[in-house]
Amino acid sequence: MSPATRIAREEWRLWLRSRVVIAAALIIAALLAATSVLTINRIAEEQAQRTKQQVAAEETFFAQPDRHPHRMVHYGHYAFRPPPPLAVFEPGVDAVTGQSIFVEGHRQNTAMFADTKAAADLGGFAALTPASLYKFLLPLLLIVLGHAMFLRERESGTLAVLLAQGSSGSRLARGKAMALFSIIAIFTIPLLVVAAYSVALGESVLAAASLVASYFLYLCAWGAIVLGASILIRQRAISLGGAGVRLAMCATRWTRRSRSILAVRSIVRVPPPVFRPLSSRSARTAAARSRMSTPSSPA
Amino acid sequence: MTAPLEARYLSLVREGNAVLDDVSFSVAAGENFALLGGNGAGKSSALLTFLGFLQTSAGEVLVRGQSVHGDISAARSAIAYLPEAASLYGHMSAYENLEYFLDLAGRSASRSDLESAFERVALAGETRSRRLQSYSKGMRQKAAIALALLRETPILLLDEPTSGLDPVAIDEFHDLVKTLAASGKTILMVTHDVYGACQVADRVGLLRRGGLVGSFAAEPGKRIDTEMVHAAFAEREAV
Repeated sequence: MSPATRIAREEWRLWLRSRVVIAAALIIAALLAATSVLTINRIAEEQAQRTKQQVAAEETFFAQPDRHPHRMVHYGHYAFRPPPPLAVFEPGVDAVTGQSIFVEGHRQNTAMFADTKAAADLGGFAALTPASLYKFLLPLLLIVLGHAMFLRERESGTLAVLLAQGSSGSRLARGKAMALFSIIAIFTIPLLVVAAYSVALGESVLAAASLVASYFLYLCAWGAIVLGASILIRQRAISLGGAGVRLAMCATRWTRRSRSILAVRSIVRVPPPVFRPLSSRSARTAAARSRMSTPSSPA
Repeated sequence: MTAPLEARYLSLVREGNAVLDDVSFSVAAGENFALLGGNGAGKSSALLTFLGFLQTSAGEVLVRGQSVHGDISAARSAIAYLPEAASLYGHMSAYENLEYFLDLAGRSASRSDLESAFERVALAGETRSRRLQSYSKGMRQKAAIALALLRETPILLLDEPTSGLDPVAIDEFHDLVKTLAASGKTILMVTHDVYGACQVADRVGLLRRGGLVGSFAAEPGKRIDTEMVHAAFAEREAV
């Protein structure tokens, strides 16, 4: 067994013998299981509801009497976006960008039923999902586990003993990093399961792999920050009371803002359809004809 | 013959304060040398320079004739260090602690090796499987010494080894140090315990405000005169 692996193993021994750490890990695992079940149920429900609405909209559309195709265009048609398979983990920007759109000729309507427009800004806490746990609670678990990795050795004097008998600081850091990495790897397993499940339901492999990779890298970045803070900070009070709280606050802010930031970025990148006034004469004429024969008026 | 430990014109400045000023001494093979001094005299700093933990401002620190800063790992591999707090892991048993530290030091020890080391330091059998967080300081000290024994290094550095120990534990510790010295270990001990230093050391150096101000050696077959050292210590501290 390499020294780094040995150090990581001893870190695990400490965690397994610490009730606080066990309790924190169990709470997070229980929350993860509960939110996964709830989110899967909620998404299945939404999927069923949207499919039902889509079927109803199509039945209504096709139940119309025979008309000229151009006139049919003006009657319009509702299109519902079904939740993608990965929504069981992360509903994505659905609540921001809307879930259905009324498609009609000569008009570009905005999407409808964006939940965030009708709700208070609770950020990621509005609906607790497995993704929000990964974004907020797992960094907190990493802070709890890792903030004192080096500090504890320094305070108890074991760091001096380890260094005095030939262990290098970098070897210690590698071992501690390996222990934190193993925690991240364990919490990546549920992600892999979700990704495989989504691919089986028709999600693209690239999207599923991107999801796993991005959350894995996100947690690794937190692990590196926590380990770095533990190496650099020399007092436990500063480490947990100052840096730990600041890191936790950063995690909270990031969780609250990330969805809005991502939604805004996606809108900037791919502008949503907006109403555009018709300018050309022929278009104005077509619009006038359309108004004369609205869906409520007799054909 | 090269001395296992040697400080040559050693000076150390930390945060603008002179911690050690032109200190020179050496410890011969098999000798037990005690550096005696009050709080802030620079004893622990002098000891830590041999492990390369502190960068000297001037002078040189040698372990087995080699400059410590030339090859820190070689110096550390020759030294077993016992810090004041007998620092081992509280969440592990004595067995687990020793196995872990020995693994990291690149040494392997069988269960019978561990048992025999515990026997030598008189750590009771039923306590060896208990976690160290339930140990007294004396018991932790014994476990730490067992680790030092198993590393089989020729040099032992002891930092305030009897601080916080009860009189019985101090006596046990002194007996153990004498045994180690008799087995040929080179021992450098820093302490403010005049009586203890005179009991176990072959030579005592008086350190005051970073300077070595006196030295007392035991005559063959005798211990150092405690009264004489105490008087010198009190006199120097009163200056």
